[in-house]
Formats: sequence, structure tokens, C-alpha cells
Amino acid sequence: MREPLLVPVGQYLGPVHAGPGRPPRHHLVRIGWDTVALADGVEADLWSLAHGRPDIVGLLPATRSTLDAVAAEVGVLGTEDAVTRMLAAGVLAEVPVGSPRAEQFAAGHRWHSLLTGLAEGPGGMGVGLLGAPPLRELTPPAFEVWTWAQLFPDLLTAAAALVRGVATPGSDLATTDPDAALTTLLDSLPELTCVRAGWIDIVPGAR
Amino acid sequence: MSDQAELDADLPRVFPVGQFLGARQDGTVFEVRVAGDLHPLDGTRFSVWALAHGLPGHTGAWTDDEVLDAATRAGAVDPATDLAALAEAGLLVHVGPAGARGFAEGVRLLPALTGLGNTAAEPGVWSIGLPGQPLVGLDASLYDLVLWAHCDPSLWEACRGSAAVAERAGVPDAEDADALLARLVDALHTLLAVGAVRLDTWPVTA
Repeated sequence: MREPLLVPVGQYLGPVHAGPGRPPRHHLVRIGWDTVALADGVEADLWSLAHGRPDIVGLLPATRSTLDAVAAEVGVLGTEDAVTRMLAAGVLAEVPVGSPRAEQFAAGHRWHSLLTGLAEGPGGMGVGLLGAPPLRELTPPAFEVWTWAQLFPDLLTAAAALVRGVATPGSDLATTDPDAALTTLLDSLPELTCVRAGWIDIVPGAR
Repeated sequence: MSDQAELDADLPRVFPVGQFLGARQDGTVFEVRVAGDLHPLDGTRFSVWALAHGLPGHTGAWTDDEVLDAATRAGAVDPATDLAALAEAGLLVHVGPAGARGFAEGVRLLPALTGLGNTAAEPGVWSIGLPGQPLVGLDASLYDLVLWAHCDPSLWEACRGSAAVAERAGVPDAEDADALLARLVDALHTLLAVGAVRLDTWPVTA
């Protein structure tokens, strides 16, 4: 049985410095209409690493094991308590892909896209900033998710819509099996978050 | 305000709507998504749409005249036709001096880059960009508006919400929604020119 995906949740709002020359009081992450404060240091570093580090070949974090490996690689220590705290706060989520819990996660979370499309390259459509080299060339399923999932209220609905035919022919999402489409969508998330091509949020309630 | 600046203030500003998805077919087709619709543009028309974002470092209003001048310098033969076609298709919107609220009621403002917070060196400047690469700085109230506006069904609702939160929080000199919107409109080309935000018409479906 495969290890659950470890998914960062929330929109990063950055460090908050209370005054000139002072260290960050915390880092803010918006989830729905709320914010969660991450402690500067291990907690904020780990949450950032959980998005992925495409510059570390072969160590794209997508599970707790790979996050631990990347954290050790870059010298972030004391990770277990921080991961537990962030799971409890909802800024990290463990998603057992292919299980009913994955469907529950998908029904309660949505996707927001960042960056802009650029041009097709050998690895797929590039995304990044206009006028600059691509930050990453996205595989077809990741590009489908990046383009379309943001228009749907949650990931489960997005996967169902992609099955109905939004997906580009030839994309791995162009399947008739909604469970397979959801698995492909969830497995695409690390490829997107590693270059901050978007973020996963909860489905918000009223303001 | 100079005479020229007063004249510029009366001209409608032009803003792009949509998200560029990339160039296809060997760079001959440029796809822009607005809400659930794809708009394939040729190179010239796409250039006019891209120029409507403004140019980094430009000061003053960015109107049709600036777009047409820049497009002509870039080699466009008849950019006025492209400009009209883009506006007709809903890929451009014009905002006159008295039209800010109507504009804001019809669009959503979405971040396109990451919030980077403030720094110990400049705690009053809140940046947006790529991790480790700030591209534009804002004051705290505009920063909050830009990064939270996507939660609301329109830019105008976001301005109303931000103003209400600031008032409830007792922020000194909290602005009303119209004043906040006016400042956002003034800053919008600076944000669009570096790719920090985009406009869309897709409603919040949460």
C-alpha cells in the first residue's frame, strides 16, 4: 500500500515583521477566511519544503518520508513535532490516494492557480512569468489541473468535470473513470506546488 | 497635477481580463482563458492584450493611447482593430474616472504570484512575487486586498469586506470601500505589469 500524499494547504501570506530590524513574529497562511500562524524557523521551513524543492533532483516531497528526507538534506531538524502541529492546524494534510479519505479530502478542498502559461516545450507547457524562462514545463495532467480545476468549487467536482470532457485529448485525465481521474489530479499536485503554480485551500464557508 | 496629468486622468484606463494559458502550434496560437471560455488569439492580437497589462516602470495612466503606441512601436499594423475586437470579446475592459465601482462589480481580482510579507528592513512594504524574488511592494491595506480579494464574488465585494474589517479592527484612518478601490485601480497596472494579479469574471462557486 502506497504512503499517503502529504499536501500543503493554504495560501502563503509571508512573514510578518513587527518593526524595523526585528525577526519575523510568524509567517501567515490563509485557509478559508482564517489565518494560521507558523513559527519562524523549523515550522515555516518545513511547510515551505512540503511544497517541493524541484532543484533537489529526485527529492520532490510528496509524502512524509520524502519531506523528512528533504528536510535532512537541507538541515532542517526536529521535524516530527512540527509536522504533527501543522497536520492538526490543517496546513498539512495526509491524503491516502485511492481511498474514501481521499474523496473526503477532495470534497473539502479546492485549487487556486498562480503564474501564467508560456510556451510548449519538450516537457510540456511551460508556466512562469511572461518574458522569463519557464519555472517548469508541466505534464499534460498537471497542466489540465492548473488550467481548469480552479473553476470548480472543490477537487472532487473538478475531477468529475475533467472526466466529462474538459481534459485535452491524450491527457491522462481524459478517462471515463472518476476515481482514476481523482487519483491523477491528486498526484499532480506536488508538480504544481513545487514551483508555487497554485495552492490548495479548504472550501470556505460564509465570511 | 499638471495639465497633461489632468487630461490623462479623464481618459479611460484599459485593463486585460483573463489568464494566458500559453502559446501553441509553434507559437502561432495564444490561448487566453476568461471564466470557462478559451480565446485563441493570433500573435498580433495577443501582443495587444499583453500590452494592456502595462509596462513595468511606467508612471501615469495606461490607456488605449499607450497600448496603441507600444503596439505600433512593436510592429503592429492595425492595433486599433485588435483593441476593439478584444474589448468586444470581453478580454479588455475600460474604466473611466466615474466607472470604478461598475468595473469592480463585474470582475474578480485574483493573485497570480505569492505573498512574500514584509521585511525587517522595510516593515511598511509588503511584497508579492516568487519565493526569494519580490516583484512589487504595497502598503498593508492594498496587500491584504490583493491577496484576499479572490475569496469574494467580485472586486467590489472584496473592497467592501476589506473596508469593513479595517473599521471593525479599529485601523486608524481606515478607508471606505470606494477610496480603497480607487487606490487599487491606481495600482492595478503596476501589479498587472509584473504578473502579480489577473482579472477574471468567473464567480466564486464555493
